[in-house]
Amino acid sequence: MATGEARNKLISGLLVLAAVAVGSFSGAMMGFFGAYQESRSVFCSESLQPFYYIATLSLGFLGLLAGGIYFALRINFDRESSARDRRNKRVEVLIMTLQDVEKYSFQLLLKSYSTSAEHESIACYLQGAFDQISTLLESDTLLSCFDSSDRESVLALISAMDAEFLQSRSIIHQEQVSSVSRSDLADLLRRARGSCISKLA
Amino acid sequence: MEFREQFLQDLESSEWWSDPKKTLVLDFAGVTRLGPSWANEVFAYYTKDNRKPDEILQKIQLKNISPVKLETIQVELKNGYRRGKE
Repeated sequence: MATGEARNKLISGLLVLAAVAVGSFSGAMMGFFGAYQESRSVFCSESLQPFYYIATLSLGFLGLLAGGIYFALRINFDRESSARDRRNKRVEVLIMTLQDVEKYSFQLLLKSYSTSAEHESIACYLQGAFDQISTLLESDTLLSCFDSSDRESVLALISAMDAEFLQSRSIIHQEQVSSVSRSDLADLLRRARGSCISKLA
Repeated sequence: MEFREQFLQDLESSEWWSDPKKTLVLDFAGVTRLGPSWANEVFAYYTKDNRKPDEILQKIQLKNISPVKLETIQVELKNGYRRGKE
């Protein structure tokens, strides 16, 4: 992935250099051609010489301007593309974390663990995953593209599983905790995943 | 629970809730992690008297809180309120 990015940067850099070089070259050539015509004054009458001067200078300037515009557009495009790549990578990490959360949540919900150590490792993983999800959502990259309802759908899943995890651990000091059903969890996961997938560009 | 008992004892009285002049400001500057269970213990508790989430957040003002942390609290308040109604 990094090699591809470096290659893209190299190609865009070369294209920019080429555009500037073409602009400069065309300017120089037009200037040279104008000077040549002036020295020879064979091809045109004296009355037309100022016109050729202006035309060649204008063409050279336009070449440079086109190179500059291309350069600015290219920089803007690269910046947007890199921001999109960064956002997509984070959303992909979020989706992958949600997939793992799904697996472990169902293990917790279906009590498909045999020892308390296994339960503890599932619980530890889920806690870590929830922290990671919260951190990702708080990052500047995702904060701007996830609106309040998108974030809420992910946070509702975390909230439900956190309560379930505490209940399964029997260390509930919470006031109002209800168990999550399998269909509730599936629905929460579907909503959370849907919110994330819609952000992939 | 400890947090509530230590810092939010005034909120136990119904007078505090009925007095419009009384508000509480919680500053979250420097808070890096806010778990749903903590938000549930601290905030959803106050939905027990059928108080609406908005009403609670009007009386308890949250300063320097990130949108994600605020939404974590809002989700817990909504869940608490919904469960209270059931």
